[in-house]
Amino acid sequence: MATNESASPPPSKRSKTRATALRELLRGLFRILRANPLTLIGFILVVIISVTATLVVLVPAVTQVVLGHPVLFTPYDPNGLSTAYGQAPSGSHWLGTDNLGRDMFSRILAALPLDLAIGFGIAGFALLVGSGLGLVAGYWDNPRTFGGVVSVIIMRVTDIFLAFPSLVLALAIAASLGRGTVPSMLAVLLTWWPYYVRLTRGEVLAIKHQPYVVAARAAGTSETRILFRHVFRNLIEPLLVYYTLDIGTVIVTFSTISFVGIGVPLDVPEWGTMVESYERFLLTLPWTVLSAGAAIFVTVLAFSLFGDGLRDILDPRSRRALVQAAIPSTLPAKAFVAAEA
Amino acid sequence: MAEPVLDVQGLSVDYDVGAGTFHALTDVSVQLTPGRVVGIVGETGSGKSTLAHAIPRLLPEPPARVRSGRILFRGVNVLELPKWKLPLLRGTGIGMIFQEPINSLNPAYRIFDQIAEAVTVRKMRESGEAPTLFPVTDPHDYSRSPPVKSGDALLRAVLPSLPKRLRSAHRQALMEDVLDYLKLVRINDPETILDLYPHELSGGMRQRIMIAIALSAKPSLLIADEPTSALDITIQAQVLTLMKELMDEVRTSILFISHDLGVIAEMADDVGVLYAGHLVEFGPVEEVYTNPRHPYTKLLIRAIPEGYKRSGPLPALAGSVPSLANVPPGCPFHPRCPLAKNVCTSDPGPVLEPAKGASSRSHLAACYFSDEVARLP
Amino acid sequence: MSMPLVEVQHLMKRFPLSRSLAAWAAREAEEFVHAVDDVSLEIYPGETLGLIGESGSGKTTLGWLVAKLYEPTGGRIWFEGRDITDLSGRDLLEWRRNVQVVFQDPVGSLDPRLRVWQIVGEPISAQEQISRTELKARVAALLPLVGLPAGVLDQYPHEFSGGGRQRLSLARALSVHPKLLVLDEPTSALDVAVQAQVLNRLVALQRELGLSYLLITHNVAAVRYVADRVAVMYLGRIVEVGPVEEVMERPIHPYTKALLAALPQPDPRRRRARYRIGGEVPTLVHPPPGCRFAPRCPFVIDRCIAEDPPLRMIPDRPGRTAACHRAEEVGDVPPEQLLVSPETQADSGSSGAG
Repeated sequence: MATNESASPPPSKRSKTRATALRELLRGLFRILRANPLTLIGFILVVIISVTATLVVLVPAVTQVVLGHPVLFTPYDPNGLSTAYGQAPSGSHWLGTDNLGRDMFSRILAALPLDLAIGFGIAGFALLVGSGLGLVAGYWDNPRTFGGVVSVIIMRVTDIFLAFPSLVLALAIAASLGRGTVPSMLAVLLTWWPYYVRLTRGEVLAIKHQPYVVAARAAGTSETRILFRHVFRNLIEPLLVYYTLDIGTVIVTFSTISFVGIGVPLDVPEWGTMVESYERFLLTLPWTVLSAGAAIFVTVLAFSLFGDGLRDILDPRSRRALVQAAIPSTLPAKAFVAAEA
Repeated sequence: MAEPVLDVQGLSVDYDVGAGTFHALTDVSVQLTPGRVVGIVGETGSGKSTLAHAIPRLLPEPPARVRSGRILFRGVNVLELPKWKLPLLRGTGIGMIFQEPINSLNPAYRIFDQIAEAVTVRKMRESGEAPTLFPVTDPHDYSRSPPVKSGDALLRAVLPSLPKRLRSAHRQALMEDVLDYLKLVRINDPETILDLYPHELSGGMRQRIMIAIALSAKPSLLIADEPTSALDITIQAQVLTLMKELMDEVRTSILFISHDLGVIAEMADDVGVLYAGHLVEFGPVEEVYTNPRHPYTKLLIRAIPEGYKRSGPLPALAGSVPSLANVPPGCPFHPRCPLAKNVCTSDPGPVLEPAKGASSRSHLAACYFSDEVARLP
Repeated sequence: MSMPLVEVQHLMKRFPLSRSLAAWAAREAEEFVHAVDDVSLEIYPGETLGLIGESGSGKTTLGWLVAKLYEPTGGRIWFEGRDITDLSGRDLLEWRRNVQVVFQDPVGSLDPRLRVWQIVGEPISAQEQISRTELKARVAALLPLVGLPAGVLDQYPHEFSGGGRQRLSLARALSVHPKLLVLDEPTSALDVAVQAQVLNRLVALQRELGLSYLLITHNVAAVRYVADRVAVMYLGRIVEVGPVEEVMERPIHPYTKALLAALPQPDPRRRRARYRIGGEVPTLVHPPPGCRFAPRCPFVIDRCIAEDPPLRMIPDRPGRTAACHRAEEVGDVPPEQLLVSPETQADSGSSGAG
């Protein structure tokens, strides 16, 4: 055999263990974060938001158990009326107070867990249901089989749902179900799952026809194993990215429903209802409506920025892809994928 | 000798991508005299596609950066033209044919419209309705038309955009021209394909359409970037034969780029060999093939399987093409070269100069030991 | 001659063309693409059978049929004398260790999210219960066979060049010690220099491990080097079979001649030559009654259009088969005759298309 052949990676790279694989993922994370300042901002914001939400919920619960009475994480009681009506932001009230003397900052924080849970929860549920259906529709897509018929049915029902503008549909369902947290969440959920069906189906179809799936079949891998090993693994990345970006959209949609007056009951702090109830104070107490709106904006922005960068973080090939896309080449850019010398 | 249609002098192009800087081309010089075909041969990662795109300035300028050099097209330095003059250079000045016609033909327009667009542009430039960089003369003898210096007062506003779907009166006026060009590329019964879309045609037909579009603009220089690599063998032979016949009829100078040594041998008069962005050899094609003066050329020719396996293992080239981000200092080939000595590893590397022991002065090689190449087994 | 390792008889594979709802309602006859149409051939132990053809010839489909990645629409397949045409389920999975495939696309055939040891070891883990450490050890032992250092076990495919990835594909295919390797265009995505390395390795491995290869490619030079016998396919049929040197030097079938004449040679004397075989390679939806190459054949006579020539032994040419009515007369015509230099423009017609 000829010596000195094009053995690609340099011999200095050692074999890695599982722990180092995790470290490698983190290193990839930090590299993307360093390279992309917007993603870094998004990441930091997401972390701050998530930690704050957890604390807002946990601190009272834990202190209730430990101390016997709950200690609020928020500086003031979010529903606590006071005589300090309509105060502009100041040292004692960071975001001012509303017309009933409630501290805006506390209200915003109090609404954070609910809105976040809505975002994660609804999008998550839609992800599970929608991707499950999409997986079926994508994997068994030969119309001549029973599975194929099921897939066709799934897709046509999905098409019907997709034909309606999501917001309008959500409003219609929420209006018919009546006011309340759960009904409005249900309304959004019912309009949300179809997008995941279509996304998942598209991805599954693309993956199914990849040569590596055929190669796995040729290797003797059973269809179930192919599904779990190859299809799932490659499905997670696009779904997760979409999900992260979707969280913001769900929050906005839900807030809009609340703004219109159908969502959560008025006494439950939620950014959308806040915007609705403070809307008339736009000129007199602007900080009330603006802080609620800003809260929505910042949260959605955080997840959008982070979700954008998530794709690069998850995909080990992303760095190469960025390089390849920039340069014209007649054959696939093999030169630029060559081993790092 | 007539003034060269194309004179690339010391061109160096880099790509600045996040991962590093890729030196796609380093100090490449090549000349085309009118009516000649120059072939550029190189493997992937040699920079040949960059060269093809750099000449009509089709490189995406942010990642790509021309570090140095001049590209003189009929005396005009392409690199110094302002951006708005570039469209004037292309089409009637420099035409291009790409590898995958399904990608370079617009899938949303029918064949008639695509050819008609090119013909219309050319006619508008000929009649003076639209500005052009060079006057177009007929018959296709470009070696005699005087070049127009850039900055000339003749050059005015940018070509107005054309309506894509031409009205029927326009169609009739252009029909004859379009059919002429389809017949030029040997398509029988061209009327039958006028209303088809590119995806309805085979690869060979699409490539002929591409050639028809390029020629209908009557360019002085045609750059063919791997025009037949995506085609089947018999179709490739047809298209190459077509191009040979057209070369006799049309007399456009052609810069033919390919990774296939056989194709270049058939088509080109002179050949340049690119390796890792450097032009390592240049000369008349027969000489370079029968008597290569650079180790890379020699080893590359040798690595093509010719015989049968019973004659022993193929003489394979050791190592692999370096990444353009890490081109070795000095001569880029030295890590894989059997003749490499210490002097080959230091910058600046060998320059392209008449090879020692070559039979003509026009046979150039960038190697300190070009006379020893013949002794390689 | 010894018993063939693989034998196929009258193998057929057709794919339905999708049709509109209106056509289905009108009960119009369904149309098919006949990718492989009545193919019979054998592959012997330890030999390389080259399968050459252009796009639409059906060579890839035939390769996949042999590897049982497709179900044949007709015909039968035998492996080591056993009829495996209807093999399915558990038996099929177990049989798969005998025939492995190296795919054309070095990028797409390796799952980008799995590491080397998982990819190369997949056939092993599909066949037997094996621990992770054991699997890694087995894969590590395989890598030197294809010229890769053992340290790359935990890397991802994108960290390798095209040639490196091709080696990974090869290692994966060899992991279960198959008897037959179906190589689907193993060199197409590679540069010339890397091709030479891959070809050398394939030849060496065959000698070492006693493998048989079905080498499917349009790269005639590669086939000439590696193959022992060669079969030429056109539009779903085999048009010629024979020992590689014989077929390359003295092709009988006009299509083989056309193919060989079309190869660009680094011979500057060919500069003046013009290729005279016109026509496109269509897809076979409606098989004609006569020879499929007739529309393009320079030697065509009336009989060719009316009657489909069978693949038959050619007298005076031992070991050669060809599907041509005029094999005896035109068999000796060298491929160069299909090229014309412009001086001899006596012939009519140009390399017209369509």
